[in-house]
Amino acid sequence: MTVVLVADDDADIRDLVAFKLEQAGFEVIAVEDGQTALDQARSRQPTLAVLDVSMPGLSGIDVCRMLRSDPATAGMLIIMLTARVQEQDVEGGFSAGADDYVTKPFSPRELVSRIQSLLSRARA
Amino acid sequence: MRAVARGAAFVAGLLTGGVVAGVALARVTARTRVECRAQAAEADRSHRSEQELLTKLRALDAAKTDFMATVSHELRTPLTSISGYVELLRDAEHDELSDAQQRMLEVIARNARRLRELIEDILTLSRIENGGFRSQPGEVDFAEVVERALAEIGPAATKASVGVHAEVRGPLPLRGDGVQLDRVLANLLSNAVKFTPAEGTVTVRARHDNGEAVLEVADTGMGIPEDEQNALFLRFFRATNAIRRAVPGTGLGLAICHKIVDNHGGTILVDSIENVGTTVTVRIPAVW
Repeated sequence: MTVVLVADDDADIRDLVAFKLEQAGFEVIAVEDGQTALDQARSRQPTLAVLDVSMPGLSGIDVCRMLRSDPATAGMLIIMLTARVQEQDVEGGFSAGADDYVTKPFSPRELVSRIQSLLSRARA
Repeated sequence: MRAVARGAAFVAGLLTGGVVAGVALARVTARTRVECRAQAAEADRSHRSEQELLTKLRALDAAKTDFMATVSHELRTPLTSISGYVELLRDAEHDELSDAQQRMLEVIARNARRLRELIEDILTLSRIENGGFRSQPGEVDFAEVVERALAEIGPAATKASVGVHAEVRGPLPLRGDGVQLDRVLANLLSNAVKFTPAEGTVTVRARHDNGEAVLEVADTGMGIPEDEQNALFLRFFRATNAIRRAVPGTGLGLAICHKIVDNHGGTILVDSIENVGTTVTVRIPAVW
């Protein structure tokens, strides 16, 4: 089963994403802050991480950058979730090395299809 | 709902604050010129204080932009949960929910969408109101902007059984911001289709005239009551006949169009007869 790490400090959104991903057949690790996300990503090596940009402590962008700079996790697929739509935020996410970017409010269905397309592109 | 209305009024107040600041800036500049001629020393002193005022106004503007970004963030997060969980419920097996429950979820989903559109529009307005551009202005072929918008409105027009006729005589080169002009066209065309009943028509004409790119969007829709026409470009204004017939909208679309066209040194005019139709004419200088 493909393992997906979900990091969001908002419990409702974390549960929403986890529920939808489990329904779609993924194994989900749900965490509520950047540091735990980083620890879990290193220890459990998920195939893909869904990271909220603004979390207390380490932001999603910080976590993304740290995962990319570590050879053990550099190849992980990363999708950023953000409630900000300013151009610099999107650029910030991509320059940190994210594979895709989803803006809140998003459709859970659309998030799953983005994840699936990233996974199939990675397998190809 | 009262809280939302109050929030909207608060944000509108902020936006108005930006306009007042802009007028104040213009006044400051005009006054400076006169005083320079009158008395050099006095002018120097007033110039300094006006520079300070300018700095303060700019800081205020930056604070407002920052505030808008924060507000948008704070609104988007709960909205994600509302629309996300509604989607999960609506995706449930059909026999799990009664028809009445499905309809209720439809109402929640529609209103969540409306809130989302309001947030987007308020953010767009706050970004462009001080003459700011989203990207660096460059050479844009206005005819291409029109063609793109025509292609995008196609499916919605077909769905509403509204015929779209187009007469685009390009190229229409001008200096501007393509993304913002796309927005103007999208707003005008979606309005025309939205306010036109089935079997009606929308006619789009674009041409060059006397150094200007001219766009006309004419529909055979419900029109705007005459005594309301001068309020069309005000933020959050919605025509009474549109509200009566429950046509969805934020009341910010035309305000956004007006501001963008204004930022391009152009003009936008609305000519409308209730129950006959509306023609919107946009003129943008080819070079400015």
